[in-house]
Amino acid sequence: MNALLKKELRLVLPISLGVLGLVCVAYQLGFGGFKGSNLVALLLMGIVGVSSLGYGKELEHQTLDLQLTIPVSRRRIWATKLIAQVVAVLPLLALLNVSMRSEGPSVPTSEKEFDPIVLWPAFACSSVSLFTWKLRSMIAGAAVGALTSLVWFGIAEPALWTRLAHQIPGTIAHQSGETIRGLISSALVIFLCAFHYRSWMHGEIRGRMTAESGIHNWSLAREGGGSHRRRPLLNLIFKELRLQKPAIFVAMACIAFSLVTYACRGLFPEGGTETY
Amino acid sequence: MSTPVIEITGLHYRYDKSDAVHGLNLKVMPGRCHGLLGRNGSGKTTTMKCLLSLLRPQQGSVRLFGLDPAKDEVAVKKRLAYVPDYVGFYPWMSVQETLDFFASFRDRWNDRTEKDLLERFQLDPKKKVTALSKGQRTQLALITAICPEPELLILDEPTSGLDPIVRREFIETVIGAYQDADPANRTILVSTHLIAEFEGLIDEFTLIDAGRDVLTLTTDAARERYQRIHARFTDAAAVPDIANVISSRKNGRNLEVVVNGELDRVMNQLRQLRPEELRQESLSLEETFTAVLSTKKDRQ
Repeated sequence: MNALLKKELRLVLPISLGVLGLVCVAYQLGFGGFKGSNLVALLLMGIVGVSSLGYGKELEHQTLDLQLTIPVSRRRIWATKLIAQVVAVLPLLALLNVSMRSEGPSVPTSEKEFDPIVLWPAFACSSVSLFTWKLRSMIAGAAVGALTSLVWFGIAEPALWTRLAHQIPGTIAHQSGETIRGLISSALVIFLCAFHYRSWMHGEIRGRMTAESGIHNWSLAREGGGSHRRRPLLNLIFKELRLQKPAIFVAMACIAFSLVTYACRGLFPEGGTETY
Repeated sequence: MSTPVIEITGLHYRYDKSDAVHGLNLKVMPGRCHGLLGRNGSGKTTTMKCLLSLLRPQQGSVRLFGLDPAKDEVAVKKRLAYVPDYVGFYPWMSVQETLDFFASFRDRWNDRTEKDLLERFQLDPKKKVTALSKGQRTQLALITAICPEPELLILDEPTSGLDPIVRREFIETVIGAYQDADPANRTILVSTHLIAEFEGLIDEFTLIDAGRDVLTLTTDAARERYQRIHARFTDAAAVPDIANVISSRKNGRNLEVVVNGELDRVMNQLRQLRPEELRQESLSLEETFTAVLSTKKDRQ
């Protein structure tokens, strides 16, 4: 295995396996079924967190500059990161799929319609953009996530491919009405996950709180001479929100997507009736 | 005529609303040690990052070995090594593993140099990089940069965090030895605040201020051009005012004048006043740096 791929896997796999272990332990401890429960949220958090590790860890260790000057093309670095990301996310995705199929009648079977849950890894993988904040990374991440999940579910359900072409618009539109709660809660989960991870990345939770944490050049801190120094808690909150701007954007996009598709459900033929 | 190793023309880079680099021009020929000198925030690191394609300039062109570093990425990177001002390594690796990791991407790697530098810097190959101090991480970064024997070494504040003994040894021995091994082909671009320490190494320099190149000279030409004249007169009242110089300072019977290329004129002017003592000396690189940037500031 080449040194670059080995390094990328070392960055992401331990945490991915850690999340997998955590979910299995939680299940064994009796958190109940996977579907629609806390464990789904945990898995989604894990997928989001793992997806962001490839770039997030590089930024945390400040190794990006040095890596980009070694004689390897950026395309190869990017491709290696995506391979490692897919490898790290697949076990979690597999667990999600297997767990949902192990539940009762409400779990989708081969007779059921397309379940939009397959698109969640796309949102998760697009969390790469939470740290790079580049549209291209977001699109690439979403594409990889969608491809990964479609390949996986396609292998599990070969008929899925034919159904997709006919069913996606109607299914998403109608199911969005049923899944608004799920989408909003998942968006909040993504936001919280990214919030905590980024806070950790910036060393705040580790206890390296310095006097500077309340004095950042955010627009709030610019008002007045020393007024921002008298509101340390507010400054801290605004600073954290500012750090999570990309995550907030993703969360708002998820909510907007579900609201728009729900509003447009009348335009599409009735899709799946799966209750999520 | 040989191709410049580094050629920057009209470089512009802006962070949000502020210009970090504004119309910078720079040319470095092969075999030279070129210093990039400037105050904090003058644009040195930004220039280096644009050179290495770590930042994409809004305007201007950058060429390394006559190639575009964005398009001919790998071909350019194979011929250079970079040491940033802040060095980060992967925390699970030891010193030796880090060196092996970086060596795996290089066509050439001098194991003897690696061993020699590890001994000289007293770095334990088995030690985890998380256990290294800032200075030791810099030393490790220098080893990863020098062992592949690149044609171009780009150093951004390379002595930051090094103690004075290691700093001197690094500058005189390590960098000096690196370039002496192939003087015609090995080029160094170094940005530093420790101008006095690099003076013996730098062949030519560019002063950057507010994102612009203010002055580019060889060190020999700088020494000829920027001179300090000391004159002592019999009477304080006899000390004249000298116009059109970088600086002129009176202290009782003494006069100290710093000139930029006007040595003969000023010396003749002072000789006519028959001073008790009259002597000249070249400015050091650091004094030239201070003098030029002070003049620029006074003019603004």
